[in-house]
Amino acid sequence: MTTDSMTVLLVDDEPDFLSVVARRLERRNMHVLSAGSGEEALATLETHPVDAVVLDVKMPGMDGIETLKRIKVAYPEMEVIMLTGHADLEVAISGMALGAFDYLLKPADIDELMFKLRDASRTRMRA
Amino acid sequence: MTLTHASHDSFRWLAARVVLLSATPVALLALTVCSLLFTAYGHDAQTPFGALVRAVTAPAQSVADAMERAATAFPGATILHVADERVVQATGHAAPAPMDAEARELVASLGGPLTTSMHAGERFALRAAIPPLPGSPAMAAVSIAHGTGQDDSAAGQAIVVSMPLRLLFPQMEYAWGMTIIVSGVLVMLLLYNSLVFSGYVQQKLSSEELRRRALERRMVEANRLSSLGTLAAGIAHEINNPLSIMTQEAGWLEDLTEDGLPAAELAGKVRTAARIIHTQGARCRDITHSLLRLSRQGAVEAGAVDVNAVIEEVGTLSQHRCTTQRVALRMETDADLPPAYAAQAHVQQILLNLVGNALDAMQGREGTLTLRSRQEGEAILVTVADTGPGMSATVQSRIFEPFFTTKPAGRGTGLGLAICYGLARRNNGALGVHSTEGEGTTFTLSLPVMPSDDDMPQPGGEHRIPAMPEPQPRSEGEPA
Repeated sequence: MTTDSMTVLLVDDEPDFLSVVARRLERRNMHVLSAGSGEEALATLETHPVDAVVLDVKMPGMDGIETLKRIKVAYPEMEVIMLTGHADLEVAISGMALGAFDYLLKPADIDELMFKLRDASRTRMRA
Repeated sequence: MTLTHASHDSFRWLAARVVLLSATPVALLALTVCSLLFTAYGHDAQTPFGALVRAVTAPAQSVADAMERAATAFPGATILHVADERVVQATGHAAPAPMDAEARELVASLGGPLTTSMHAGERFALRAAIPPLPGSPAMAAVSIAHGTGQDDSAAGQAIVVSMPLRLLFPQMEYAWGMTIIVSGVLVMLLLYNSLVFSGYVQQKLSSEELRRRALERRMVEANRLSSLGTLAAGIAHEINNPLSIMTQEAGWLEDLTEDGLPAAELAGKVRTAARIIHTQGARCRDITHSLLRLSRQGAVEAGAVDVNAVIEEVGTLSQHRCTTQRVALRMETDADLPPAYAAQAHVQQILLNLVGNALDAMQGREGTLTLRSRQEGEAILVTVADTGPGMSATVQSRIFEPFFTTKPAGRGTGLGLAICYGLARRNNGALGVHSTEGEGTTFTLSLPVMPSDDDMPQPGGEHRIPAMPEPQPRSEGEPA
């Protein structure tokens, strides 16, 4: 399984959300890093090797799109999955144009997230 | 907000005046032209009268003969014999005093001393009646040479024939009568038209007024919905976050059931998950509660409004936008504030609009949004202060005008503040603005304090806030 050794960075402004998704992904044999903001995510990426980023679109301060742009500038190969509410669907789609791998509507199903992460990891392997 | 301020009746009077005023110059012109024509024709028509008098009196052998001839030729005329500038004799109708004077004047106008050496009728003069009214007399003077021959006293003798125009021109009374009737009919038509026109204007205006009122009502409602709609996007996100956490926690619980953990460890993990679900559920509940309070209908009755509670609600609903925009939200409410007398829904709508505007103004920059309440005399003041870019004096003076907006096309309707202003006025309050460029803008809503029970206008103290603002005039840029 490609996901066995996969390292995922979760970026969301909700600590409770980070904690529960991290727990569930870890149970599924993933190595999970968490970041509470775009700035924190960029700092984490500098120090830790990461296979994929799960990024919330709507965050106070540096929002998801801005974070995505910066990630893509610094790590063009990095696969990013956008997490978004219905209201920001257009934003998520514009994120795809900026190089995001895929997007997921909140509340997201964990299996779907796993599936997309595996997908992203496979793409990365091929690259 | 309102286009007209006066009642329809005064509009009707105005419309009538418009018709009458526009018709008056035309009527005056017609009158002038007619009187000029009448005078010219009347004068021309009277001219042969002089020649006729001369022809009649010239062959006479004596003064008495001349007078006799004149009396025969002009029945109804007054015939005067003027000698030495005195009326010697008069026949026919008794000559009134002014006629005497006019006759003497006319004789004097014959020119030079009248001498016996002149032959009869050598000089004559006509005094035409102007204006040619049926009763005014045409007067003709003819010099006569009859007398005692060598006697110088015969000099200056003349016969004056004065005849009312109605006898000279029998059709004249008819013409005048017709003229008066036609003018009368025209005047009545004019008055009638002004009445019909003003009635039409009034009807038109009142139907316009009704349409305008309906439109205004819809506008206020649309503004309420759009200010709620703007919030809805933020609220959807706000609810979505706890919802995803709860969904994930539920999934986590499912995961746990599959792992076959020891009972104690399982119980601990389940408890943690349950606590998080509780917390997130409470978050959802708070949001839906404030939303429900806000959309509650029927609060347009004037009554006691706890302004602080409204500020809390609006603050809660705007919290998300503030966080996203990195704007600090400060609420400084006066705990001892008495209730205001207003419609709660209106107060909410005004504050939502003001807060929305303040956040729009601070778009793309950090800042502080302050909601403050305090009492000042018989008024409760609510201020919404931002630290945005502020406004110029020109913008400030126009800020409450309908359709005035500084937001880019498609973003603002320019109606929000106009509606707020109208709502404040409807609640016997006021809405004012103070802004310094570069420092920020402060809107101040003032509302009347709820009167205490003993000086209540009516028992129960609830009356319907008028559906429409009172037709009170508002001058441009009134400081409110």
